Amino acid sequence: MLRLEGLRVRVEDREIIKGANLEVQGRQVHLIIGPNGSGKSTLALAVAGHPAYEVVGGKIFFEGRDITSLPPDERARRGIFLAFQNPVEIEGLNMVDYLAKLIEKRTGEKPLTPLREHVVEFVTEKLGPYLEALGFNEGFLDREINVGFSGGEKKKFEILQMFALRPKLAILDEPDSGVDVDSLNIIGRLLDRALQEGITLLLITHTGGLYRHLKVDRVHVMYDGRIVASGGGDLFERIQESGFEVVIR
Amino acid sequence: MSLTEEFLVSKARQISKELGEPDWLREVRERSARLFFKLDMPEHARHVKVDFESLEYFSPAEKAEKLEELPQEIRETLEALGIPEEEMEMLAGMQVQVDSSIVYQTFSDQLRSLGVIAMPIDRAIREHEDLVRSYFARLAGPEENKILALHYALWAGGTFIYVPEGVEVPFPISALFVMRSLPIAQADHTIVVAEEGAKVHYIEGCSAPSYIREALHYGVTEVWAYPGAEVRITTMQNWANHVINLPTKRGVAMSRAKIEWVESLMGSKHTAVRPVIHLRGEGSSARNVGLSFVKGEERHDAGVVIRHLAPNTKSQVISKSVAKDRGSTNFYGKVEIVQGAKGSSGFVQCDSLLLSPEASSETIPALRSDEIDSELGHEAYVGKVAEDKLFYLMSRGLSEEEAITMIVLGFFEPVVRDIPFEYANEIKKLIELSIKGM
Ligand SMILES: Nc1ncnc2c1ncn2[C@@H]1O[C@H](COP(=O)(O)OP(=O)(O)O)[C@@H](O)[C@H]1O
Ligand SMILES: [Mg+2]
Repeated sequence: MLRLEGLRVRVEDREIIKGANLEVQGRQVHLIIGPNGSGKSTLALAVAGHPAYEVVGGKIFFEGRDITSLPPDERARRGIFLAFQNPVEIEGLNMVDYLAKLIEKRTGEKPLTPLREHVVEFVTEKLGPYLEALGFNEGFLDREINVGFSGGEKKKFEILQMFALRPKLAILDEPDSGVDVDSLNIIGRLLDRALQEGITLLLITHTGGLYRHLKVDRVHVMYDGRIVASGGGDLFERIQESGFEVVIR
Repeated sequence: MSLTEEFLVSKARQISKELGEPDWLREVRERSARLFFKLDMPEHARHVKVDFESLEYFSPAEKAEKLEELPQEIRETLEALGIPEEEMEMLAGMQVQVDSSIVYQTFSDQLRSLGVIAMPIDRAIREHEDLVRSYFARLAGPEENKILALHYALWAGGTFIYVPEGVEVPFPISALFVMRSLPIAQADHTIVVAEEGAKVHYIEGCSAPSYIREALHYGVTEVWAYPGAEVRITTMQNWANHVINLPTKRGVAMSRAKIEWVESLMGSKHTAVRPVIHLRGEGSSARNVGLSFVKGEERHDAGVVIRHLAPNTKSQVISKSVAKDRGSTNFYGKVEIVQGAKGSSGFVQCDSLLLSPEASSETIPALRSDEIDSELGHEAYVGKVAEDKLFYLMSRGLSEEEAITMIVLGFFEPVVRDIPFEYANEIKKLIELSIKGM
């Protein structure tokens, strides 16, 4: 589904990703782990097409097609979703209007009118079970995008957007960091549900918290801008026990 | 045709005669016509170029009994302004002015039974002459500047609203001003009076369809809020990019009275406006909230002047502007607290967002207090659409246009929140249209 071939990415005149190779098959769960600053977020942002993350070498393939030079909205339309490590605040943009727009983009359906009650009705109808599972009530939907959200609320809102968009591939950048145990369990269950619903998961994570909720197919270790090792679930457990030294030399 | 004193005076007389005005009004017109040649442009509009010679100053239009009788293009303009027909019927008190004449009006029986006077001002002069006379030109006079002199010489149309003591008008009263002929100068005169404890919300929409080439709008609005009254005025302006917009707006608030001015300004070649609100009575307050959007070569020089003349008065000014292309939007916020106005406070907030490198924005605060026991604050911010916000939205599949529109609408939200739903929704549509094709 996703294939990176010798990907090199430069940010502000510094090469951060220095030739990464990666292949993610459809309907699987892949993990990327690696020390802080190794380039995991940079890799994710480059795959999603952030203009400040310049691809200076290699290629990104999605479903067999070269998407290296596509703009971010086109990548999203083809089915790539990125849950941000640090979601961005957008003042004045109401959650419920925004979600309605995302749903409209995917399905072509719209609320009856732009009146608040109709928009809320529309979004609740489309996302009801997910809203409930995430503990987002109607009052919460009235808030501005990520403004004043707690760490956990931000991560959960990213998950909600994933369900609004139903991508083919969801790249989740540390959906478990800064999240309390209860929220972690909720996120874990919903990621498993996403997988059941046919969404391929590429998960960037440090903790075993989510690992326990998911049947992980493959684990990739990132170090200094490269994928230095790939393996099965046992690789994650070995690193959890003995640190990254196991694979870095 | 050249604009001579003789021509202007005879034009003033002719308008007065056609409208069947009383002598005192004709005299104001004649005197003002002569003043025009002696006075300068208003200070805040010195740099605005107006070709006075080429304008048509009085252009009566056909009247309609029913909305359906209005010419198609006018109805389209009204809709473009955000007033679909069903909603127009719902707005209980409303009138439509095309060029110099009121062409459509309906004011509900409910208003009449409350003793509220809400009607075209020329009719109010016939039916309530003394009342109109006691408020006419009291807050803005022809001797102040060239534009006001021209206004008082040639004004036509506008609304007169009088709300008696203690009456709360249960729905907004609205008026629409449309410029159609070409080239035209439209000078509506509106007076809103709220007696003690009265409450009223007046909504005015102004528009000129895009086929107008050269036009001038120079209306006057005078607002009186007596003790404890609350007056809210929502002005929605969507001008074609050849309209020069030089309105005059004045308000005075007596003790505990509130004046709230919400203004959405889109388009026009050049707008220069400087509403003045006097907080004359103890405990009175003013809130002035505005949004402005410029594109192409458009320029807005907006601003506000608030004078705190009594103790415990409060004012709040919020200006939000967005400039696209080579548009320029500027805001001058002047708040003065005089000595003795103890316990008063004023706050000015101006934010602007630039959508292109050639767009510009400037904020000029002028805060002054002669009273130690008072507070003044100012905040200004000029920003660009942040790349991270844009990317966040685009990574969700929204196009660049859609993403920018959302960010801009979010930016305007604190102002749009104060605008009734139907109108707010149209403002959103207009902004969407303006951002298209970036
Ligand atoms: N926008 C940016 N501007 C400057 N440096 C950046 C930017 N994004 C990432 N970097 C740098 O790239 C390196 C990798 O960062 P990142 O991809 O966030 O690592 P990780 O997610 O693995 O912790 C770090 O040295 C970081 O400082
Ligand atoms: Mg990271």
